[in-house]
Formats: sequence, C-alpha cells, structure tokens
Amino acid sequence: MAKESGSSKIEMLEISNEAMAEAQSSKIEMLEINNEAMAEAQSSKTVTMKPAEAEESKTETQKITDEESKNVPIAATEEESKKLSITKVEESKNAATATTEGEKEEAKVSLKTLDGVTFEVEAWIAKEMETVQAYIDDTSADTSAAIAIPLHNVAGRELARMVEYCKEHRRASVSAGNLKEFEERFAAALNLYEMKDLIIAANYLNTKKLLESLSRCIAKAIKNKSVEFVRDYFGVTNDYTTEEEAQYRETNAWAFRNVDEDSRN
Amino acid sequence: MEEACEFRSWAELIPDALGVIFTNLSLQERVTVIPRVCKSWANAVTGPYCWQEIDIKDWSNRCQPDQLDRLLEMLITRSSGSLRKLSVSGLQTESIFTFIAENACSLHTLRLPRSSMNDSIVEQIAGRLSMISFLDVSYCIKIGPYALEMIGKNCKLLEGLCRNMHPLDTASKPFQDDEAYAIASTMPKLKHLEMAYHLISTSGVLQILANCPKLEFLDQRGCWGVTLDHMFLKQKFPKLKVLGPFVLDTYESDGWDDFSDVSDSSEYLAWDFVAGGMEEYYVDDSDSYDGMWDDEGRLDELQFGFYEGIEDAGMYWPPSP
Repeated sequence: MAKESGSSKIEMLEISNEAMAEAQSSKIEMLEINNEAMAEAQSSKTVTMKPAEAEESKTETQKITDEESKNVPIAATEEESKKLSITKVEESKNAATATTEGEKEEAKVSLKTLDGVTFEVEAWIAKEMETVQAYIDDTSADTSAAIAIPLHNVAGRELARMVEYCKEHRRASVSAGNLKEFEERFAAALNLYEMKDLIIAANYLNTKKLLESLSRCIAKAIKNKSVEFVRDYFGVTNDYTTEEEAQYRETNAWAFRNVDEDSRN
Repeated sequence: MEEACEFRSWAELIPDALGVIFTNLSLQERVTVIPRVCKSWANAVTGPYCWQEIDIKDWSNRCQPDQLDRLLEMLITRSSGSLRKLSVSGLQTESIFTFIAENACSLHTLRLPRSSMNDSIVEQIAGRLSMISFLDVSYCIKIGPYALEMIGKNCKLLEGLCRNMHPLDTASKPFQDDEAYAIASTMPKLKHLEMAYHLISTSGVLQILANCPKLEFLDQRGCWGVTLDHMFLKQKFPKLKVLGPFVLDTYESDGWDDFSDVSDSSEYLAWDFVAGGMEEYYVDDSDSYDGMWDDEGRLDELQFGFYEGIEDAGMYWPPSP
C-alpha cells in the first residue's frame, strides 16, 4: 500500500515534469523556427570570404556561426548532393588563412564537404566524428595541419547540423532533463528528408551520439504502427506481391501469433 | 516539402543506418512489421546489426520449448557472431546451451533465468563464456555451488551476478553456504550481487564481503539466515548498498531497514502466500535492476533510460559518478 502510493506520486511528478518540458520545448520551437528562417534568409546570399575579412578579429563562437550560415547555400547544397562524383580537393587561400589563424588559439581541424564548403571545427568535435578522428590518427601531424580533410559523402548542410548538435549536446549534458529536451527539440526542427540525410551523414562519419538520438526519434515515430503506415511515412514503395506477403506470414507464423493487427494505427 | 528522388528514398538508406533505427523497435515489430514494408528492409532487418541484442524473455513465457529453441537459434544465427546481450527464460534443452556458448565470443550480458541447466552442462560451456561481465542464473534450481565455481573460474570479467531464488523453492530447506563460498572464492571483481530468498547464512555473506572488495550492491531480501548489524556494515563497507531484512523471524518487523518493501508484517504475510503475484513481483524487480546495470557503462543511455521509466530503480541505485 505504502509503496503503491509512493509509486503513483512519482508517476504524477513525472507527468507534470513532462508537461512542463513540453510547454518549454514548444516555446523553444517557436524561437527555433524564427532562427531557422533568419538563417535561411542569410544563407540565400552567396558570400565569398575575402582574406581581409578573415583577418578581422571576431569572437570564436560568432566567427564559426557566421561561417556556418554564410557557407551553406541551400540551393547549391541540394544541387550538389545529387551528384555522386567525388569532388576534387583543392586547397584555397581562405582555408590556408583560416587554418593559420586557428593554430594560434587551439587545435582546429579543417573539413571540406562534398559541395566544397570548408569548416573549421574544434578538435574535440572532430573527435566525436570517429571517421574523421581515424583519418587524423592515420595522417602525420605536419600534413594534417595544412590540408582540409575531404568528406566525400557529406554535404555542408548536414555537417553544419552535426557541428551544432555536438556543441549543444555538450552544453545540455549537465542534466538528463536538459539533454532529453535538447534532443527532442533538435529532431523536431527537421523534416523527414532532412532527418534521413543527417542519419546518413552521421552514419558515414560515425558520430554515434547523434546517430543513436536520431534513430530513437525515427523508431518512436513508427512504434506500434501498421505496415501501411510505415510505408506511407517513409514514402517506401511496396515491392511485394500479395502472394509473397502471404508467404512471409506463413513462414513466420510463430511471430504473428498473439499479434493484434487491429491495435496498430 | 521537397520531392524525393530515387537516390534519396528511405528504402535505399544504408543498411547499417537502418539497423540502428530497427534496434530501437521491439522484437515483434522487427519480425512482423519491418520485413513487410519492402524487400530491401527485409534484408536490412536480418543483418547482424539488428541482432546484437536479443531479449525474448517475454516471448519465452508463451513458446513451447522446442519452438523457443528454434527461434533462439534463428536469431542468434542472424547476429553472425556479434551477439552482445541475450535474455531468454525457461530454456530446457541441453543442445541450446551449447549453441549459445558456441556463439558467445562477443557476449557480455547473459540472462538465463528459470533454465534447466545443471552442473554438468555449466561445466561444458563455461569455458566459452569468458567475455561475460553480467550473468543472471536466477531460479535455476538444478545448478549448485559447483556450477558457480566453474562460472567464476572461467568468467574472469564477471561484475554482476543474479542468483535470486523463489521462496517456494527454498522454503523449509536448511541454510547452505556452499554457493556463497563458491562466489567468494572465484568472483573477486563482483560489483553487483542479487541473492533474494537464497539459503545463504551470515557466514556466507561475510565470506563474500571479505573476498569481493569492489561490491557496491547486495540484494539479500528474504535471506532469513542472514543477521548482520546495519552499523557494522556501514562502518566496514561504506560503499556497499544492502537491500534486505536482517532478521531470522518473519514475524518480527523491527529489524527491517529503510529499503524494506513492506511497511508492516501483516501486509507481508498476506503478500507472502500469493505465489503467482510473488513470482510476477520478483520477475519485475529483477528486470529493473538488470536494466539499471546494463546501462551503467553508457551514461547517456542511462540518463535517457531513467526518464523513460524504470520506476523504482532510481530509489535503490546510487547516482553515477
């Protein structure tokens, strides 16, 4: 009896906590949408960074933010992402200049995306991307400092989101509640195709926390849903014949026992 | 909403990435829903990535033994040697234990409650369970101290052991410390130990405490043979969290500590005689501890899992450092 009431109290606390979290996250979503609109407006302008601008003194965070928003033109990104060819790696003056400047502060890593955008990221962020870290480990210190690491299968838009995720994730890690809220907010800001592209990028760069977080969100969306719902949700074409599907059910009859199809949406 | 071209279709998502998504779904959904979406998904869902963790405890209660064996063989085969966690209840056939052992090269968590393993089978398979760090052999009434000794000698990485017993299996039997001595002499790295309703006595517990210096959690609820002073434990083993009443007499409630599940003795007595309910209770309890233990090594998952609701575990488990 005592235990039951204690348990129900805990449940009520959890419910109210969730309600508060949802209220907060909806407010944050509004802000997020505004920010995104502004970011898109900015990114529609194509800006080439001149050496003079690169040398201007800016705060580290602001500088990186500017680079992210200016160097990810969406139209170009979408166009480039359709091509499967490997972009040639070209060392640019901007990259060299930025690298030199970065070395004065703390260790930084240059990453060049499929669509030719170069990112400067802190070493700890590169470490989260295990594929990148493996590349760095395999390369001698001298050469890796000078050349941007080519990412043949990752577009600038995805890399920008991954970098943002790593930074916010570290910031939010101080408490489990903040972390959950952050992950839900981050995923809610993406449409289904943006989610897919980001999963592919995270899988390629082996960014485990992001990959697991996004996968949980996708799985949550299709949990307890019918086969038809899942097809519609993902835009997947059914390539089974009626006979093949019946054959599958028969072969795996053990798994369908006790399955109540009507309870699925 | 942009139009999806062929290249960007979800159906063609990299199998590895699909696998990560599918591992977040229940077994039933991975078998009855996902494979019917389209053929490429059917292929992806049978890949090893989806089957590194197999939990069919729930299924176990509804399957016939031979059916369960065939299901388990099929799923383990899919993991292609990458099986890391296995939870299955009520296994009976000797050959299935051998099959599990043959595929245990990556296995670190193994839960086989209510199985019909005996000492002889354990002796045969223990040598191949060397990667195990968490083992649950609760309610396995056919194994004894010799099996635990074999396990301890072969599973050098063992940190967690569940050896809970059902009170009906141990009622009216004399106290017996052979299993405690086997644990004490062969499992020095234990951090987590559950022996609810075990026949262990005070001297057995003292042997374990003396020989398992890293022990952080001990569940000895219903171990009527154990009487240890609370203050003694706090002074001697400050890092140890102990769960369980310390009294011999079931009618005496004064000795129960803060972690007792029952607030008064009459309630306990009534609850004691509901065998079915008791069994359910213990299964759930064991699950919640196991769940917490499994997540310990992964802080993010632990934090996330806590919010997804392991209801009572948070009350007993110390916060992660």
